[in-house]
Amino acid sequence: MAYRVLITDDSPAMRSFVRRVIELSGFELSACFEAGDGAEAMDVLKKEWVDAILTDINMPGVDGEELLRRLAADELLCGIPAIVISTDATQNRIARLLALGARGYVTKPFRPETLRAELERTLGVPCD
Amino acid sequence: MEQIIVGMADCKVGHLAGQVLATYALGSCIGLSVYDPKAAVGGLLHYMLPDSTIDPARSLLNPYMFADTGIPKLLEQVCGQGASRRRLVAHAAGGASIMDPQAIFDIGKRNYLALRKILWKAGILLAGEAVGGANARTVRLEIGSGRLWLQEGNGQKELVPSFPQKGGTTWPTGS
Amino acid sequence: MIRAALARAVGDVLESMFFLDTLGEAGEPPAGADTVKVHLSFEGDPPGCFEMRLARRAANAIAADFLGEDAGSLTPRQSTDVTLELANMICGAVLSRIESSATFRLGAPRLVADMVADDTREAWPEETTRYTVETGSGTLTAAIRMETRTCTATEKYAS
Repeated sequence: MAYRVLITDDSPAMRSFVRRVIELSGFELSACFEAGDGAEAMDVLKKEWVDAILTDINMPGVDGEELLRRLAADELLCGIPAIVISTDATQNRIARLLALGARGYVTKPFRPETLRAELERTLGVPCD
Repeated sequence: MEQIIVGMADCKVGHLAGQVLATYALGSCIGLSVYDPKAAVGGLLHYMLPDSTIDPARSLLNPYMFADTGIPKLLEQVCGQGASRRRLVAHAAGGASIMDPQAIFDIGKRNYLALRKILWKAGILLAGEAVGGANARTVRLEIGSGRLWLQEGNGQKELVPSFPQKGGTTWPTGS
Repeated sequence: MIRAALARAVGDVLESMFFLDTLGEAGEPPAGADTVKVHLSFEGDPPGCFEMRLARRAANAIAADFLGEDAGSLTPRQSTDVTLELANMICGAVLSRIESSATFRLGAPRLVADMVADDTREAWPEETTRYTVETGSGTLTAAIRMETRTCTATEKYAS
């Protein structure tokens, strides 16, 4: 199966890193969209369907928490699994984001294998 | 069953069912095992130091002594026997602090970080690892099945169960 | 406690995503070192600011390791992006350790100025906690300053 994913982070470097982890994890990507904040992410989602969203939280403009709220409020988009990737490891934040609908949470800094495990848990193990 | 010993600063590749690659006494050294379940080709590298720039002449004589020269050689050799880099399942063992319990020189950790950096650049993520601590380890890779065993202290465990035999339609991604 | 959190954060970030072993604390670079400086502010309890100074040679090497590329093939833009993200991650990791029950918010990291070879070393602001490591290609100094409260309860409710 080929996946379509959306990576949302204001850091182009982190978007590259995450994309590389997804590719090296054995997931075939038929499309990989990138967004610099939550507003850009919603613009992408108006036009494209994705199988998963990976999002940072601390972003200028529409942040990741607001993005999760908007996804949860949309009857079509609320079914897309979202994995949060954030520097914030505080329990309060993690609990709040999971309550907003995040399916997974990876704290920066992270090992590539940690993100792979979260992807496999959320999307299932890729098959060659 | 043909057991092929991989010594210190050594590397062996197998492509025949019945071959078992084995390396012993992994202390601060790293044993890197790679296996392509579709091609049924695997290799085992036992390296001692992270960086060949400390002794370039030595690395020319024996590239397997160092991570930065040994790992590319291992990958080149397994791919030369028909493995696909994209399908390789990689495991690491070792990187312990045996002669250096205070980890002052930290060779084990440096070996481990060198491994991760080189594999990242080569486009390979580790499927599993048994690293650090203070115990020596032994690793065995069975070429026909892809089974990988780890021995540490008095215990032995199977890190990777047998892959489906060549000709199957789906392949798990490893342990 | 802040210094320990800073040290731990630097080590964790460099090890997990940049595959670097920093071999403990190092001395700060000499005056005249070619250094890249990143600054970011954060809101929290208390708020403050974070600064990272990274030897330029180290910035390029670190960026290459992060992206899985050869150092020679990187653009200056890529090197800068990684440097900014490195600062972002170290700061976030420190704050997560010292403000574990509060919510903090990081501002965007910005490249303040390229500190080119100069005879003077820019002084650190007062009450800055700093930690320096050797990356193998040059030093990295991480510094954090938490703002102290300027208004006591007595003053607040006076008059």
